[in-house]
Amino acid sequence: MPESIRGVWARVAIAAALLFVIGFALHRLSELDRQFIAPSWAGARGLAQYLLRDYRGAASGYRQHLRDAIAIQGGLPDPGLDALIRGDLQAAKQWAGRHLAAAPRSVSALLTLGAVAVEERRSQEALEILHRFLEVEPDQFDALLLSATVYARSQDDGGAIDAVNRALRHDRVQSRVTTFLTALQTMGELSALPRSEQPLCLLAQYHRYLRIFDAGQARVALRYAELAIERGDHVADAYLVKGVMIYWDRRRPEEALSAFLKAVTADPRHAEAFRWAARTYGDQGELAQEYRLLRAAQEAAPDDPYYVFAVDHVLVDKLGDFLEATELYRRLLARKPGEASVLRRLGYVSGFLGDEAQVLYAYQRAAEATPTDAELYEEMGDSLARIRRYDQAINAYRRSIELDATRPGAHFGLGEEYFAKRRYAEALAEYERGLALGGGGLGRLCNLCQMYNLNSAFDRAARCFDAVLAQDPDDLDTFRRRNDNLKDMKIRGGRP
Amino acid sequence: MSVWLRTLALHMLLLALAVFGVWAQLTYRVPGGRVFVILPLVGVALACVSLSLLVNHAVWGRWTDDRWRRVFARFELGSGALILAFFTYGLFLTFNAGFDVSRPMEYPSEIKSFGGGKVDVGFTISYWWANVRSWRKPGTVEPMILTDWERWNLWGGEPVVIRVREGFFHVPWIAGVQKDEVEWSRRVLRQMPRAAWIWKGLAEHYYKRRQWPEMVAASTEYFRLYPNDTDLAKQFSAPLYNIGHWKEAVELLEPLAVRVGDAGIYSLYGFALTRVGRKPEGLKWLEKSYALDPDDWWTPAALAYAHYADRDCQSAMPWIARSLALRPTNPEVEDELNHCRAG
Repeated sequence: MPESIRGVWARVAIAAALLFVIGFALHRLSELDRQFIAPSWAGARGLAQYLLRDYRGAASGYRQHLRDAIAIQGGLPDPGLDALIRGDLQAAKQWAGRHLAAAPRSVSALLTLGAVAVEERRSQEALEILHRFLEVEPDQFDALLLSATVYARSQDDGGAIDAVNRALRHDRVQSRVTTFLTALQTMGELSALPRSEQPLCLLAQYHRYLRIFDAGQARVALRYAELAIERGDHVADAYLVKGVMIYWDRRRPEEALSAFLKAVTADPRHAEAFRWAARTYGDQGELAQEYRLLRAAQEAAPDDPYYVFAVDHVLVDKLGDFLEATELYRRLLARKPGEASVLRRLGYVSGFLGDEAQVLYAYQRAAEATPTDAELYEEMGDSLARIRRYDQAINAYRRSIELDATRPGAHFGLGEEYFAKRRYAEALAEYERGLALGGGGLGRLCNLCQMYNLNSAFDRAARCFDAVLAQDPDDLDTFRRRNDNLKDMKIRGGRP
Repeated sequence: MSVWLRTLALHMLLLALAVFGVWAQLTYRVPGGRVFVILPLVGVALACVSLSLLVNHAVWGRWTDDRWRRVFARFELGSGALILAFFTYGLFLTFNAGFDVSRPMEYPSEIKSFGGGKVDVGFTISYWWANVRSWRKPGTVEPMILTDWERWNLWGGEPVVIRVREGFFHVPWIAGVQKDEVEWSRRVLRQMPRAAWIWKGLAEHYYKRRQWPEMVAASTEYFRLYPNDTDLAKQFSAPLYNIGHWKEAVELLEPLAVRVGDAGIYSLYGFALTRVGRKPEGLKWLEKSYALDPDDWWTPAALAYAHYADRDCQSAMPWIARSLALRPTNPEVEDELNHCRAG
């Protein structure tokens, strides 16, 4: 049968449409995290309802899937989580109660108890438990997200938005799947409200959270944020969500920056909006602006250590303005004398400035506050070495290794001090331990090669230098050291 | 069945060739304006045509109408020929870059704006370009394809350096677009002049590019802020020693030697002084270093070499012996000793 021109075009159109549909389906699926793909009917139902934006139904489907999966597995190692997933809130509460009687600061038990209170909709009790938990682990993701549910159900949108903001400022997610499902269910409850009653900004925040697992949620978050701005619902936070979504899309950084700046205009005490604006400037290499805005964030939330360390990161790690950093820490210590984390940073920057007295004072006081912190001793060793207190540096590194032998940095530090003291065999041993523990980098590897040379292992040194140069052929210093080693080998006839 | 399999194989091959052609054009970018930015898109369109034709074969099989069969056969032939041309061009670009041993030339430029986008179809397909200030025709802007990394790490208005290589067949290609470290550092330092890491980064940049006078100038600023970083001073002085740039070594080490009590710095500074015709002064610094750290084998070796360089073996011998006593396995110093003994 001969084809008509219409038939031909129909074929072409169907082929193109088929390609488009397949492409779109692949695109949508590729946006989803693997956790959405659950191999069961309940899981498939959950996914379908999720894609249709029925979040309550999706949470219920995934819960059923988890229950079935656990029943097949025969339970989880964490009895609290196991009971929560099975929906046996009484058993979860009993286990948490027993556990807390033995260990009152047990994070797992506190989280289980908090989650049970949230499920049972006992708001006040849930918040008390979760606050207790956040005292043990500040900014813990699960606790903040569960708090957000409690606030949302109590119609305290501001509290919920703050809780999600605090959770999302760290690059991490919840530790328990049940927390995710509770958030999904909360989203469903909020979305099901009549349009005029929906907390648009809070919904935008929740979709911002979901974007971590589903890139497609960015579009929804953006739309809710714009609606919230129109309605005047927590405008600063809505601009923040808008900015973050545009920021992660990464195509229009200027637009993201503009949204963050509008957020701080709407609320000049919005520390998180200042931080995001600073981050955007920082990405563009505008470090002075980044620093200025982070200072504004820190001043907006002076009691929040998170912003202190954000300022510290730019000032010390990115810029290296040690004088300014010293001023900052002195001001902070005047507010909170004896704060170990600030003392450590003061000791650290003082080492760069060569201020011996301040290094010794700061670390001594920090060590009194946290005597079993291996990282502190390693850092102390680095700073002591910097001010040429080599014997004290060796003692600090040894103490760090005593407390935690798996830290490569302490081994490298000790190796370098032995090297400076020309105890080459010991230096080599420490360096090899450090590298075996997974520490390293080309600089360290090059030092190792030099140690082989100084231990008269010229062959090993030659192979080692070649390996370094294979990775960085432009490294002049390594090239020179390699030549020196070859000269040594030649004179020795290849023998040590 | 065999016809279908043959068609499948043919279209998959054409698709692979088209993908290769696009990949080559995106990887070994040729500067040349808008045409070279559009060409890869034509390649993608051809790949899509090939895929559509395959879908058509799969869904409906052969055309029953002779007229349409002829039209589509010609269309398939034409698109296949274009894909082959694209593939050949991609192969040419690959060889042009693959066999290229030329050193990259660096041209300062500035990003004016970006274009392009990305799409996820199970895997990410992205295509970016930037409009940059032309380094070939001053006063004009030209588009240039960017890699994903470049798109995410560069910003509008950012000063950049475009690295261009000559090409094996003398067709220049863009080896990379990077942030202009020097211009960026200067911008930051104008606002934050006490930013030690920026001075250090600048000095390291010059160090890697073997721009010794600039390296010394930036280092001096850095050491003024952070005199304790003697390790870096030692690292920076190493290549100056290696190539005999003693004047720069003296310039680099002098402020540190005056401010910091470090035996290593004293000895490096002292030895460099002996090489710029200030031997008596240099020997004093070397001896000062030796007094501060008598267990370091290098200082006596340097003292020995300072004398040995003037063929003053008599003064060199005790220092050689001292150095060998501290580090018995030092073939180079042993060699020096043997030469002295041999007269």
